[in-house]
Amino acid sequence: MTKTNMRTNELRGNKLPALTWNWMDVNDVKIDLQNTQKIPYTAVQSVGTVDQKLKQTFYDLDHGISEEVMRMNTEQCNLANHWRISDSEPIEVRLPQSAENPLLVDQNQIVVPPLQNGTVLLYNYSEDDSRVERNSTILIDVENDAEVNVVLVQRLNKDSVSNVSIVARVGDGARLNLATVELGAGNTVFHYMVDMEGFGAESHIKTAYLGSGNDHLDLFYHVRHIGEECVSDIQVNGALMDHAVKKFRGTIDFVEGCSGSDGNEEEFTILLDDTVRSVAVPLLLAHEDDIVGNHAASAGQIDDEQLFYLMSRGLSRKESEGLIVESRMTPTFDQIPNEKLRLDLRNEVHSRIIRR
Amino acid sequence: MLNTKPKQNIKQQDRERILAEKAAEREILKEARRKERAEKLKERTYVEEFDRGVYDIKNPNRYEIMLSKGLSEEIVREISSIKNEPDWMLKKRLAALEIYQKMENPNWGPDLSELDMDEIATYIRPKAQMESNWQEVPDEIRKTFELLGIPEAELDYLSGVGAQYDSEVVYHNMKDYLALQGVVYTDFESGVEQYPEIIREYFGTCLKPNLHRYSALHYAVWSGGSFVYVPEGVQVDIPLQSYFRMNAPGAGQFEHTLIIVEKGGSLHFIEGCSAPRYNTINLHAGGVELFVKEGAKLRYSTIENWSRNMYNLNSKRAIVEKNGVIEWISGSFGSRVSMLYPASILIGEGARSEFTGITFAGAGQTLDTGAQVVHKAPHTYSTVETKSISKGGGKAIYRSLVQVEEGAYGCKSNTDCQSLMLDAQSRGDTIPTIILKNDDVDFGHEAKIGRIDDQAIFYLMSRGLSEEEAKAMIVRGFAEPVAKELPLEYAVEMNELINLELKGAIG
Repeated sequence: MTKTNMRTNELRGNKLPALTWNWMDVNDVKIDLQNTQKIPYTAVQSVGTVDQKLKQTFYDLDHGISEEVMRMNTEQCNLANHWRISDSEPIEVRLPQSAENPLLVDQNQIVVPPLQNGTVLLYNYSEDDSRVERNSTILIDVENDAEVNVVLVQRLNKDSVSNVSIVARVGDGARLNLATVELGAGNTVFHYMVDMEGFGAESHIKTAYLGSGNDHLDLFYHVRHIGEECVSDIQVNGALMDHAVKKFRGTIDFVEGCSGSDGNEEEFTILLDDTVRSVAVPLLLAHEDDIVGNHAASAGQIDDEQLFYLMSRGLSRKESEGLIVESRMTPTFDQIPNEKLRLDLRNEVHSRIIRR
Repeated sequence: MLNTKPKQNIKQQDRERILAEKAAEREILKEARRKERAEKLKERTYVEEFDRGVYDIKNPNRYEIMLSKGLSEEIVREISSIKNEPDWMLKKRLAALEIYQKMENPNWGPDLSELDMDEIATYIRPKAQMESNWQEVPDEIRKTFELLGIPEAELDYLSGVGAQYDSEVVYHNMKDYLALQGVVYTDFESGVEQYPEIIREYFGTCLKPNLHRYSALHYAVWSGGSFVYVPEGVQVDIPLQSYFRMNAPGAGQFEHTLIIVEKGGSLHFIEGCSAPRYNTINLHAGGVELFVKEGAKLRYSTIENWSRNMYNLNSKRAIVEKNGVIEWISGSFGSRVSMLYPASILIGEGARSEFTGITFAGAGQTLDTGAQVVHKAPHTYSTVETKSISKGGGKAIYRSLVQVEEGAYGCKSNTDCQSLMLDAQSRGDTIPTIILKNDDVDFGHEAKIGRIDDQAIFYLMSRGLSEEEAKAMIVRGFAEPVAKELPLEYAVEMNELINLELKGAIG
């Protein structure tokens, strides 16, 4: 744990939908948001007006990381975006943070009307070494037969705190593709909750992360199958080194009536150092018999055979390790609609593995 | 690569038309798929609650001593004095009672609020002395156990048997040649009396009273159970068995089982549990402590068929030393609420743990079962294989922990859990936790939930089987890995149970 984690006023969030043994410390997670003032965020301007009614509907569905964090998000909000997607070019928003902008509390609403499709990229990063905080909520409403790609990239510095809550709703025949990349922030808390309400709704999630130093990552997913014949998958791939701690907690919830649904979750962790800690809690909750749910979690060192093959081709050990880790993240990176950023991220992963 | 679609440029009126068309198509599809699924459901035959047969036989409730209901220091002292216990044991009981009173019910898992300790009698002594001659056991009690097949099993198959009726052991016997080799198999009270040093050294060190509330309760009011000691190098070639039977309504059974298998020894221990059905709540909070020494092997099999009014809050834990092996076989069928997660603590290099379990939850049952493995030493191995089946609104929950500690290098662990749900009212949840604290680990976890794969049925049918045969074959295959690990008479019983419940039930 980093020093910044030691605090007295304890705030907790990301509570599991079905609790288990308390001593394992996986039922919820500590939230490290220290700033309670409202400070303006000056790097970008808000887009559109937040639909309060829509906001309320979504808050009734789920409280994101926690009720308290949601309340802070409403009170301290310094950036509010509302997009109504209409077959447009990808929307790309850069959200830099620095000593000038130490706090970003953003509310985002992405509404995709019927039959439309689009892409939204939110890229949050540090410009300097100062400690910054982010508390973000993203509401995604995918209406009938629509499709949206939402891509989140987070590259804050090691002293920083990132809290992101996503609440989504997917209609009849609609599809939500979410890709998230977590490469920064010493303290990352991620929350994703989706209600697949429509007939044949789909939710596809790909996450790539790299934990190093004293990083603490909490990745929380809650996928609810409500409509008939919904399809979902969660794919989380990442690597841990130094003293990084990762908690993956994914739940696929088959609500009664979601007949014919199919849900999959897969978590794969590459362990690069002896001192890392990897925790996985892959839940399947089934209230319906006519469904198929699968989960697989695995963790281990880099496969010797792969390493041997690459090294026999003349690559150094570190170089080979870098390539292998990078390749596990490629499917997620491929979702990013910005080639330069994609390349940047690949390079960062590669060089962080090689430099270790 | 990039999956941003090009602009579609659909005109507004076209858009509305397309939407309407899509919606109409979907309605047709929805109907068709619903029909298809309903057809599938129709093919199922629903099996009513099965007759528990001999398990439900009630005996008149005759007892010599029944302590008043509830829990207090007086009651704990009374139990201790009835048993003529040494002072250290009483101290342990009182310390545990204190822990119990401080602790709360867990905030996770099944609801335990209906369980009221004030309504439960913690100690009941049946009108019987412990016998080692079967014919001298009181008629009623003997008849019950005979119906359950205990003495026949002893003649044919077992090297020793113990039978506990309510709070006390009523029969204990072991084949002579084992005693000559130094094997000890006795009820726990006699163990405390005859082997005080051993018991004092091991008692409460594996399973600690502060583990959880019902472990504390167990240590405060324990009564009965078994003590087994297998000396160095002795192989007990046929299984030992103990059978727990609860007859009195509104009672608790708190037996303590302590097994020590010394260096290079081996043992197979079988535990069976049953109780007749009453409308009051009964509680079972036993404690099982297993010590597997260097190179030793212990197989611990349990078939639990408590009646559906039982809260089964049992704790089991094994400490395995270098190259030792613990094998758990666990079948959970009965009880109203079960919380049972046998734990294996692998403390010596090369230690191994294998867990095989099956859970069958019917109407009104919440069976929260699973396994825990803690890898504390390098090159330790564990496998967990479980099957859960739920039907008629029953809840089968698989809950587990695999933890690999710092410095436990080269460990391998594999978990495979499958759940089968037979109707939409039931629940099948999977709640595993995996904690890895070093990088040299080979870990895999897989879970599956749901109905039988159509492709598997299709494949078998293409090989000439009828659909029904194909389904039956798949279901048998589902339970097979567990059934084959059970002792014969239990395997037969379990298969019957499963066949009855599963017949044609999967769509």
